[in-house]
Amino acid sequence: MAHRAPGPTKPVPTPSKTVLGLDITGPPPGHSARRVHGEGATLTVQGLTITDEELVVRSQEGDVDSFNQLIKRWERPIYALAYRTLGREEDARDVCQETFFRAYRALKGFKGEAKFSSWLYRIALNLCRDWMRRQRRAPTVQMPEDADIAELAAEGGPVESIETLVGRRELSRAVERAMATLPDEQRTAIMLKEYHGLTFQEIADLQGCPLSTVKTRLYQGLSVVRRQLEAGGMSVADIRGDAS
Amino acid sequence: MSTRFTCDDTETLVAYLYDEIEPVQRDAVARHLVECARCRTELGALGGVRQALAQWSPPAPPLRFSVVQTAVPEPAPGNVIRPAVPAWQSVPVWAQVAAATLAVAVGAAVANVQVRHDAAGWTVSTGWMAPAVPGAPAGAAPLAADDAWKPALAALAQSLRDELHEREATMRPAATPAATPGTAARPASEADTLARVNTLIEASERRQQQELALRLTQFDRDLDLQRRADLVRIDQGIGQLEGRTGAEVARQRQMLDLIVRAGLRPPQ
Repeated sequence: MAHRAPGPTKPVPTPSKTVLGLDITGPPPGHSARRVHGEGATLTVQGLTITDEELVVRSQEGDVDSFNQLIKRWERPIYALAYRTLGREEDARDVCQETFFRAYRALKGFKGEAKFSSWLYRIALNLCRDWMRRQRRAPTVQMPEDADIAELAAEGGPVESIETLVGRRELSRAVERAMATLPDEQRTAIMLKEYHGLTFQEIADLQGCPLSTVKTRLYQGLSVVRRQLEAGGMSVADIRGDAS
Repeated sequence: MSTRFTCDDTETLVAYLYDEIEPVQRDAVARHLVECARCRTELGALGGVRQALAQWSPPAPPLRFSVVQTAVPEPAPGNVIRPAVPAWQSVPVWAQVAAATLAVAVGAAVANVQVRHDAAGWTVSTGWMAPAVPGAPAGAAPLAADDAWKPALAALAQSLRDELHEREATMRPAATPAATPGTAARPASEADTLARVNTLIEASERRQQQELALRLTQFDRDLDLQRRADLVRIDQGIGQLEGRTGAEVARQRQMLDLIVRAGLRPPQ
């Protein structure tokens, strides 16, 4: 497990890739990691929500702005998926960038049989798989040791005590460690279900397996995480009680 | 579809957990949970795991990826990178034909191809062996002109006749004392011919070696001359460059001197 060393964030070069006269760029990542809850975004233009499908059609007709809107809408979920799979911010950023780069290049061939988001998830998962194969390592757990408790407290609102925040952080770390022990299929199924809200059928399509297999993977994965948490001295009954 | 739920039906339990289940099945699970404490505990634990999973949030760095359209400058005509084509395709046909002809001519000259026409018909030979025709002028081109081959042919015929007569004359005295003419003289004649052939081959090899040595020496001399000429040219170029640079420096010094003098001159 890799833990980020305390200290100032080391500046990393701005990712950039050029092809076909186009740049996919991102901002310089010299920033303090801030943890937020919830992902995804909706785009509303003049009071009307433009669907992914409409943006895809416009992008296929050469409208770069439409594709940028798709990026804006989906970069956060794709990044989160990559981070939870790979466990490293830099790798997740690279995979996220590469996902949109490949999607842009292959956009003409996207026929719309599946949802655009599913298509993106598929690209991202394939990239993560290749990434891990290249690295030949299990997903690492990278925790921001230098995360500011005061910052977390500000996010959590005034009702949460420091003890609660620290406990929440401990729990997050324990979950991350437990998830890292799961087989790829179970971990991916849990992530797609828990954090991205995909249906059983969408997960089955992405993983190329029957619906019943997805449910089995979810049950087995959740059971392993439960045992891991309990082995670490955390009672899931208490967690449920605290949450409720 | 069965409306009865059993404790080992984990798939349906997961579907109930995520509320992605048919209403009929949901009711069946709900009824079962009222009666079965074990399944209630199991479902509560899975719910607790879900609550714990919700605590795991990734960092949220500013991403803001975007596709940026960059103006790709039109390359200058001289800088256009064309697809790689074989070099021979860029050469005109007439040049290819000329090159092929030259190559054949050079090859023939190096191989010393000789075409002769005699009583036996057309003969093509290669190599640096001297013509086996005695009396023929050395180095004469066999087909220098249309009429050139006729006297050469006559000379060849005459030489062949003379040689035949000589051989007959030499064989006759040797055959006279022998009881059986032809049996003893023939091996002697064959040995003589073999010796002559060997002599010719040796002479040919010697000539080839001399020719090769001569050409190598000439090539080496030419190479050395070219190298010296190149060195002289490079030396001259460097000298000119130095001269120009020296003149430029002198001119700049003169200009600087003028400026300094003008600056030191008191105002009028």
